[in-house]
Amino acid sequence: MKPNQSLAIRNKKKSTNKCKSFFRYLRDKKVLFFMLIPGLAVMLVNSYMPMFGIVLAFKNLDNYGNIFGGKWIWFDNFKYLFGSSQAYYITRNTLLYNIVFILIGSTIAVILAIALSEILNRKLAKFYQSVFFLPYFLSWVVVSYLVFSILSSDMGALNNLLKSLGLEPINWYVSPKFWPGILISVNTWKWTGYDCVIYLAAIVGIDKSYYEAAAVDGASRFQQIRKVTIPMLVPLVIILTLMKIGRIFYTDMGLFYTVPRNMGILYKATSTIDTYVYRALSQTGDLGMAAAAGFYQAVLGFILVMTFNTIVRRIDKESALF
Amino acid sequence: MKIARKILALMMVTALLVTIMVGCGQKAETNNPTPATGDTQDNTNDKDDDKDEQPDETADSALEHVTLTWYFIGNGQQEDVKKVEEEVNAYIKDKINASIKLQCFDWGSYDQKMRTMIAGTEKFDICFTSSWTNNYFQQAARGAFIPLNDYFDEYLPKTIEQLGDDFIKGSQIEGINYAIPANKEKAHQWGFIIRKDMIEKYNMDISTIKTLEDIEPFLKTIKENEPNMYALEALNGESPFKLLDFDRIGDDKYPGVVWNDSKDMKVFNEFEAEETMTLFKTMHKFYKAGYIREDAATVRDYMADEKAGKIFAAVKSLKPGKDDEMTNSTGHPWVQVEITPPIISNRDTTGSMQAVSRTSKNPERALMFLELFNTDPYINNLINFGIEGEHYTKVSDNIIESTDNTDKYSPGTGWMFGNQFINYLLPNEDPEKWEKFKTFNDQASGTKTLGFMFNADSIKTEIAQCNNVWDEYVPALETGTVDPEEYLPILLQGFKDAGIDKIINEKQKQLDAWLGN
Repeated sequence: MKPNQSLAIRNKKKSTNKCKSFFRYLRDKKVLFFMLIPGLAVMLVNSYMPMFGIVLAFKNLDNYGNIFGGKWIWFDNFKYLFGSSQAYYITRNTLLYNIVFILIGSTIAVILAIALSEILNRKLAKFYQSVFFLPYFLSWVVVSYLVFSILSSDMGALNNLLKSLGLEPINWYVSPKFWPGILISVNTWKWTGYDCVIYLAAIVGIDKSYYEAAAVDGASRFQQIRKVTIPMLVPLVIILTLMKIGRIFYTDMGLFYTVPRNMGILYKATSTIDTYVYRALSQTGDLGMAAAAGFYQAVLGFILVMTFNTIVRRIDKESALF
Repeated sequence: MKIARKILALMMVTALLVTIMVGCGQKAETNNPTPATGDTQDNTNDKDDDKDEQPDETADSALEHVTLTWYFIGNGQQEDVKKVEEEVNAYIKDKINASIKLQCFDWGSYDQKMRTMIAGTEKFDICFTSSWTNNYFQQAARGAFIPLNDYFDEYLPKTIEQLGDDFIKGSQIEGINYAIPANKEKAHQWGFIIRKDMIEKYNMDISTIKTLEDIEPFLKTIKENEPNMYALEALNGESPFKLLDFDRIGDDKYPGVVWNDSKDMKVFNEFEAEETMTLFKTMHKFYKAGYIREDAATVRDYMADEKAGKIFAAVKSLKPGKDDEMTNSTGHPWVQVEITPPIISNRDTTGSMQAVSRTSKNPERALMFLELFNTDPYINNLINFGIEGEHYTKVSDNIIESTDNTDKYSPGTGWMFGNQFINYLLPNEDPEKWEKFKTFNDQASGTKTLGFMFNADSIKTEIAQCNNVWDEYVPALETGTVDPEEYLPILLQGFKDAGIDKIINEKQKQLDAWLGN
């Protein structure tokens, strides 16, 4: 027997063993795998099968109905995206808004959750929680009308206030410079309650003995919050943030399309990749161009999640998603 | 354990099969041809009603029964549309053995719905297409509609004959017809449409209105006395900007026009014209004075305010009797004031057409239906006015009046439905209306570019970018929402960056080549 032969045999053994062990693993955990099937099926149908559609981004479909037909034009569809200043605006808006949303949203939600957990009157705490949570259930269309009732230039509450203070009323819907602030406020108002409830649940779940130990050591309420509550919340904050970063190139159509009432003049401040793709497809009806923008979005998102996860893994292996 | 494993394996395989089937979106098609003497019509509302209905291609003259779907624009699905559908189906069953599904989307959403459906290869048979909604040139260029010329002699002989050359030639793209125009007025003429009751109430002399500026004193009166009305209607894409009446060779939403009476046929960017600046300034003045709805730039549904009686004046495309038609469709009295001369352009010959979808399973039958619809007064008026005795009563041969049920079915879009010259008239309309139409058609002069179709294939990217720039600023400018002094230069710069020069050069080149032959 030559040494390298034996190696081959050994390798073969190893691989059959691996195979065997995998099947054994399958057998041992079959109930769990069984439970995995529906989820996997949904993933497969909704996320993996449509991936063939990526070819659309590189094609000019002259004939509707067959995504494998049409001419290959490679990167011409991307020209439309990058050929003007549009690509810069929509990418910048998407990223900056989402970063601000994550930072402000998480901070306010954590502060609110801690504040709620400190309220001794449980009934009152429940009431506040419901008040914070309410906007989450409102549809964007309703929200857009609420915003309109505040910002409308002749009937709006805000302009009436300005007038009563003797100031010049502002035509909000044609002034892009105010919209970053407006959108951030609306978004925070709508989502904070939801995140707050998640953090509150985590706080309630923290073992009371930590606090007792801290109190025995003479820690004040504030020190307890700083040294116990916040460190216990960090892993959850990281996980939620990671999830949000995965979607950082996606924006809420409701917020960016309905709330500014699709007002053209505000596009510089309110246009994101999603609204751009939506408008492009609904106006030009060009599948190739819209697919190109969607592909660009997916690639950027992928790169970002990988990067961020690597950073998290470097710092704290336990907190990373994968 | 073994059994469990088998079950698991079976589950896995089933799951895989299901996903494959779902993923491919292949529906198992039932192959049950309905006999020609089928006694039931299928009145299902199932949108994917894909019965495998192939017309008999053999010498056998008996046609199989098919269901045709027709999408068009209007005030949305009306209450009695099903009743009208049944009447239509009963009538056409013996003639072409088909039944029709009428599907109406409202003014504001038709364009987007159709674009989405066509992009998604939805199966339907006939749809309304035009130069101003569900864009004919774009959709035809992308192959959404089937070319019809080969079918003319066999399926549409009478329709083609009554339409005449102007309409047929004027709706061709490189010599091919992808849609059938409605037989209506051939020319367009821009002007005001004004509320008659208000004119009487405030004793206005509207004969003084010759330009946009002339209407101002009347707007002022309305603003001061009618707090619930918007004095002037100006919406995104439906504004007094139209009064400049450029000859838009090609589509909306990107610049490049010639003047109608231009001698040298020079293509230019209409936003660089002084007239445009002047008009936008006037509009901005009106907006600041509160004559125009404050959120005008974001409103898309043209009809809502008109029907609600909130509009005093609006700029519309006019024709003889447009005011009476509006009176009937909105329920408020109107009069019209013509501003621009009547002109025949490509936009008029392509202003209202029906196309047959590439996804249609029975294009021949769809064309048979259109032929019938364009030439048979009974069916044409049935779809235009509903059922006699229910939605209208006859006063004389071709004059009808409304009933209590008229609201339940009155599309009021005669210009879309086939052949206006066989339409009934309402009591408030001029009995000579169709005669006047003929005169109007004969008097109007054609533009020099009539029959020229711009092919935008080579500059698709620039056009898409110009569309974006257009959407960003033009609605705000044309409704007067913003100051043109500030925004017009920004708009022009935006077009420059988007490659407008390339578009204008391409238009000029194609136009010169076309004029040269």
